[in-house]
Amino acid sequence: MSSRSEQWLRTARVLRRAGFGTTGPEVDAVVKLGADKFIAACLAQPLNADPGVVQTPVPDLGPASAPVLTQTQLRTGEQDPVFREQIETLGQWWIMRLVAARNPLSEKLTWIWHDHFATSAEKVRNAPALVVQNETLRAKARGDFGVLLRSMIVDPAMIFWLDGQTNTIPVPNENFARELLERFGLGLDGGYREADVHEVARALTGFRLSTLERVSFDPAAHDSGIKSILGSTGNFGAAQLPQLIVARPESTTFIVRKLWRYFASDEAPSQAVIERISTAYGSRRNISAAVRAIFADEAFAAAEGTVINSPVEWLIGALRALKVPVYTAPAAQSILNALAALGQSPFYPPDVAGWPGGRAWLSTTAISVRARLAQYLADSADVSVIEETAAGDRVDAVGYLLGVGQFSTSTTHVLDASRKDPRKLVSLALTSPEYLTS
Amino acid sequence: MTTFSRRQFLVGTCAVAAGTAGTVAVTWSDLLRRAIETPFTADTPILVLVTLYGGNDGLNTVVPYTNDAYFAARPTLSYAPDEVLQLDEGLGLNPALQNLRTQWDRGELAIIRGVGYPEPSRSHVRSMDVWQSGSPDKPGQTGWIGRWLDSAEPGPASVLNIGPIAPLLARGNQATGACLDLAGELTGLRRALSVFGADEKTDTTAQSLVRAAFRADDEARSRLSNKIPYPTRDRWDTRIRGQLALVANAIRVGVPVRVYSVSLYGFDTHADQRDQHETLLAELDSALRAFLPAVQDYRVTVAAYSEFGRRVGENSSGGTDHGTAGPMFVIGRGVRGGLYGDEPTFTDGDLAVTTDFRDVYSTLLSGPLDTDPEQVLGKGRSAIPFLQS
Repeated sequence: MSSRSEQWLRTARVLRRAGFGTTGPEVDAVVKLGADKFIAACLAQPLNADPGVVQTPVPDLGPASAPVLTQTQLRTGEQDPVFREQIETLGQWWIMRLVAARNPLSEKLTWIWHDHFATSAEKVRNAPALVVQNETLRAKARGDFGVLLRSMIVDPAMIFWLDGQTNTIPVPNENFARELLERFGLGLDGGYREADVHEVARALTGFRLSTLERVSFDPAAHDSGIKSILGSTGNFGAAQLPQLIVARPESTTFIVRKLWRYFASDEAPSQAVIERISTAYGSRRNISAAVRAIFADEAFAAAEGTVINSPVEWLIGALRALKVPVYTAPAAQSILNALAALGQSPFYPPDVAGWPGGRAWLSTTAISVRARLAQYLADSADVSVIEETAAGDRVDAVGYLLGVGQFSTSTTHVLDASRKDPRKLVSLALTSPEYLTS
Repeated sequence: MTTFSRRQFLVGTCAVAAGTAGTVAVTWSDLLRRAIETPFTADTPILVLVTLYGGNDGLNTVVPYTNDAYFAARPTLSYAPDEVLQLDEGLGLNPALQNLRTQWDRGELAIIRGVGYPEPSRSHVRSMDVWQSGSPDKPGQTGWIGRWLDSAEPGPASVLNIGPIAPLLARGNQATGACLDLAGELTGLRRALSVFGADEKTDTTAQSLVRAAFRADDEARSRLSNKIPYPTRDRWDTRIRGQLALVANAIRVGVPVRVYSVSLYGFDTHADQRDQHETLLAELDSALRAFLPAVQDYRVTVAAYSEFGRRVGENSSGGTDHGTAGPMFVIGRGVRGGLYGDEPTFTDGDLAVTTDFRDVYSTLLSGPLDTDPEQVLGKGRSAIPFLQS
């Protein structure tokens, strides 16, 4: 039923995976430019060259109410009203940024690293620290992974999240060390031993958080002895850890696999794909090079429809494609509420492993909430381009509008039955399997 | 505060191998309908599995309060003899486990000690995969209850997980247990209706679907309302107390489910453990205190486990790091109360494994699940006599 070319469909998928949804005119433009050129341009663009970024500056939240949260405060579950207001503002800001950013890839990568280095506001109840982490992720998202990893080792929110500030001699707390190896740098089968966890914990000792925005180092609390980590020996401190980790081939495989999962497919990549992308990632651990290689790889094009879109991808994508205005705090808060109902709140990953993704997004709750939301979105959207199309062509028009381009026969039947009602047509298309996957 | 919770496991086990079936999502209405159509009789044995995620600190759960090495290793975390609920053989329960102590006094609590497996993994995901698959060598493909489902009763409603995603334990090769999304039942629809505030327009299709679902539910509930003891749905929450409340109601109306799975997260206590751990144990204890009397007329066995215990020594953050062996609890009227397994010794800062967890599973399989354990676990398993025959 589609009149879209193979090249259009492939480009549309690149755009949907590289950002949050897409829409027909965007796809047309990138078809002309060339997908690889587009990706390269996105990866190279400085943050402040994006008008959408400039229009949505990071908010000034004011100071946190308490410099450092003690565990006691956490346990009693006190609701700090200053924090609550700040974290709402922060969440609203990020929604507005996600909708407004013209460069889809920069925010997508920031979001991806937010998931990879998942740190939750549930424990880190200090919004200024979370802003710092978010901006660090954004700034370092596209370069050398070792540099990104190092920035997270000394990130105050991360340190607090993983008990780094109480990790001292004589008995180090292994939480941060384990997650650094298992979650952030090497992966579960990354070839590290239990002894490495212990030694990394020793290397991480000595950090202090006088305030949650500033990390300091206390040599007296640091274990400066000789350590044996991942096959090397020395009196390693935190500074040496990134290099020790990323130098391992397992780290490359781990990060390449993860990037593939985030961008290309819920299914694991073949060894050949891993090797190709690893070559691009190279000894400089260049994230941009790996991302560019992923989008250009033949296996990417073949993986059409193998990603179940996350709530953020689905909802932000719909807002962008339908040009639903999200410029005010209340509008952004509605979107945050919707994302909470769908199970994905920014700054609140369920735990250090981030959001599970894939099939986990298909709970019965999500289905009913999405149906409701789709209606709201269709009601708030500019559907004139559908209304101005002849009824018989409206299914195609909605496919174009949402950057899907091609519906299955069964979906087409369902949509076609509502072609006389443009808003209903849009709302149904938003909950179609073709729009829920990419 | 946990740094490790449920979703982590579900993603670890969500890497589903080809051939494992998908789960069925059921609602409370579905369960009630099945209870009307094909109810269980009151003497059908039922197993309730309680998964404690994060690595429960067994040493402070079943405390060796006469062991000097315990005190030496835990200067701030250890419990003194007069703090614990003393049981037997120099062991006492954490003071938060008052109700479990009552079960012990009734002879309905079996504590199996030193449970683990050879070459234990200290990764949450890997170790939980081992426990849920019943397979230390090749974890992560299918779950032990899923394989039971493959070999035994037909129908995915025979196994029910209270939660939106089927854990590995419920996944078989042909069949997978069903899931009931309690959060969805409680809040999803309501939240969906209120999410955009008062000014939203209502669409007839979505609204009528919602209304129809509630109507079917109301109709089923009114037919069974005299059997549903407590609490009303409005007071359920999604944590273990709410999960077990739903399970109790399901059992009492005869929902045809043989195995229920519930969970409690938060046991990954790397720092400032003492209060946090006690709070969690109290939550478990209180949930069981409400649950067990409600199902006392039924043949219910509850088994609680975690993916590993924690280290003998406390760390400098007042917490403990990932360890190896830990205790399992089995509770019910059909249980022969007491201590099982050898008391684990402290070896290189860890608790030695003295009982293979598959032997516990084997006993549960041949007990309430009335199945030849070999079909699920392979050869070589021994029974542990914690169930009355």
